[in-house]
Amino acid sequence: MATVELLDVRKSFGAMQAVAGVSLRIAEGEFVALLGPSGCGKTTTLNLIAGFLEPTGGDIRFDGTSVARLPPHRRNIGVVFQSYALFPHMTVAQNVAFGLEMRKLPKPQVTERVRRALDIVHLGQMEDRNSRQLSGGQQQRVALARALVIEPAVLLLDEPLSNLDAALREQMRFEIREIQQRVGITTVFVTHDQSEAMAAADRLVVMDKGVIRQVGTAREIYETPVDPFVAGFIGQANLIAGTIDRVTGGQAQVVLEDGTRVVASCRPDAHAGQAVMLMVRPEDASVSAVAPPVTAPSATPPSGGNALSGTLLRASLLGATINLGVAVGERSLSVSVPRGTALPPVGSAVFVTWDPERALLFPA
Amino acid sequence: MITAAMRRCLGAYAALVCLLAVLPVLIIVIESFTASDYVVFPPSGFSVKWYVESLQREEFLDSALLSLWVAVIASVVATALGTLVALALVRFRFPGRRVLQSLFMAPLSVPGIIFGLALLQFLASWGVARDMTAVIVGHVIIALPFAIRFVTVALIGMVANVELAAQSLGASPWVVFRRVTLPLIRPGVVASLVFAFILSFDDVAVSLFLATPGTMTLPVRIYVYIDQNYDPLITAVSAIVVMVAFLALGAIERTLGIGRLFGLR
Ligand SMILES: Nc1ncnc2c1ncn2[C@@H]1O[C@H](COP(=O)(O)OP(=O)(O)OP(=O)(O)O)[C@@H](O)[C@H]1O
Ligand SMILES: [Mg+2]
Repeated sequence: MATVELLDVRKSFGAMQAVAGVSLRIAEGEFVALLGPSGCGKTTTLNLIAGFLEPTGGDIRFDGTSVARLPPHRRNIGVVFQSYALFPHMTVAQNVAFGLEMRKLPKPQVTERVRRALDIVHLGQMEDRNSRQLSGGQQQRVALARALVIEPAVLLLDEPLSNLDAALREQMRFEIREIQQRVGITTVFVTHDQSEAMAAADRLVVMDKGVIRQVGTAREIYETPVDPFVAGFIGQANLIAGTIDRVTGGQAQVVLEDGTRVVASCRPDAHAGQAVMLMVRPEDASVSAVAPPVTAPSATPPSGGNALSGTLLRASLLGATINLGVAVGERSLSVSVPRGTALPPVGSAVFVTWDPERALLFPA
Repeated sequence: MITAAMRRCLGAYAALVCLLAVLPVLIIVIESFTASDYVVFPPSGFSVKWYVESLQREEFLDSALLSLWVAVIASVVATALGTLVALALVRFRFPGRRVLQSLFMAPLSVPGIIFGLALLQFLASWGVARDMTAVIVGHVIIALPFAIRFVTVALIGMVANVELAAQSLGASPWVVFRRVTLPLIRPGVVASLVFAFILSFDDVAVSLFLATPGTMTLPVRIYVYIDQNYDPLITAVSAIVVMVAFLALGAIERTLGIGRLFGLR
């Protein structure tokens, strides 16, 4: 129940800039997922919001008021640490009760809420267990219960589900979302799992090397990533270097490294001669044994026909989809098609095609 | 690979080391039960008369009581200070931290007798009287490096982020210390208390310089006594000291385990 604002927040450890100017406004009750490669500053950002670290620059505000001078214990936050950080000298129930005791709740109410919180994380029978005798996944759920039970204004979760199996993960994600929405807790959720982030969060924040690369809904980020890094980090992307030859009405003709001409949507500022990266998502491409009709009449593919000829290297069934590897010249492109699609045999010559609308160009 | 033969050799070696460490003390204890008026081994006859005698000697009783008080106070003060220093050195990064770390360990490298002399001079130049407080101050200083060491090891061994977790749940710094930090470093704190107590109770070098006839700790009393006479009385007093130490160690073993004390378990 608080807006959280980061205003050009910086944090250096000696010469190392862990967070290099992050600005972000998180609305009241919003659920934001923080993604990025290992070491990009996610945990540091959470620690700054929690008040465990003092920023070396910028300001952090809760509900418009700077919290720079507010110690962590007065910020009304709930934190799940990447390392769980359970109190090893306390039982499971005592761990969960700690925050409620700090809030001076009467004993019967504490007991009741601890019991409910443990039920939610499926640890109802473990109240009196010593927290040291739990598996990683169990510890993680106790940590989650401990942070949720106090129903804080701001919830900071550092990979809170990393140690759970797929089914439990989904259930816990649902529970977090449910409590978060019911109480209206402003939540920052760090995860390495992009599908988890896309499923749970209102908005995604993609970080790299201490800065935010892009903020937006899952759809915005997936469909219109701002740069090759984001494109490759959220979802998969085939990236091919090339040069713009001509721009006509939001579409550009691009000459790829190997001389092939293709068409792709481009930004307004794209211009002829510009070096670019072409991005095609695996599921936006398809393969066929024969060249697509547009290219058939003439020897050189005319504008509008996006086809690269190559060799089908492998086809792996990944459940609902089949992932194909196609060798095109030096590079290997990834294509994903629905299960059951009729495919040419592995080793045969194929064409990789895609809808120009679905291909994006980034300045190289 | 440790073969059975090697294991037996190692066992015999360990037993020998233990024997060498304990034997001299054991001989004193055996001698103390002699019926003769002079120290002799093996003792001639069996009697507890020297124990009776020693318990009637007021100067020994006074010294024992004084030693006890000094050791209790010195160990509590050294442990409290050591805990604070260790917290600062482990939890905070500040310029000069390394220098301070070495500085706090410095008393370890100074022979007790030189330190005692230095402290005597220092107190004299400040016009401070040689009394029980002076002795306690001396003992606190020699015990402090150990206290810092024990608590530091315990702090470093703490699970990461538990203090931050407590803070995030609404605990003020003091509550964090009382409910989380202290229970988790307790083995280190207890080790420090016990070790400081033993250091203080055993100390001769420092106390020798600071003692006055009114503030003579037990080891100093024994030392002074032996200087003038050597009779079985002193073996009885020594035996009592040994037994007290044994009882203390036994109590720790029962409650904490000696191994825990040195971080072995
Ligand atoms: N206390 C510290 N002292 C020095 N450097 C630090 C400290 N904490 C973090 N760093 C550095 O800051 C950078 C960001 O660290 P951070 O823990 O925020 O990464 P992260 O995004 O959480 O990574 P991961 O996904 O692996 O958890 C890293 O390069 C790390 O080495
Ligand atoms: Mg991290």
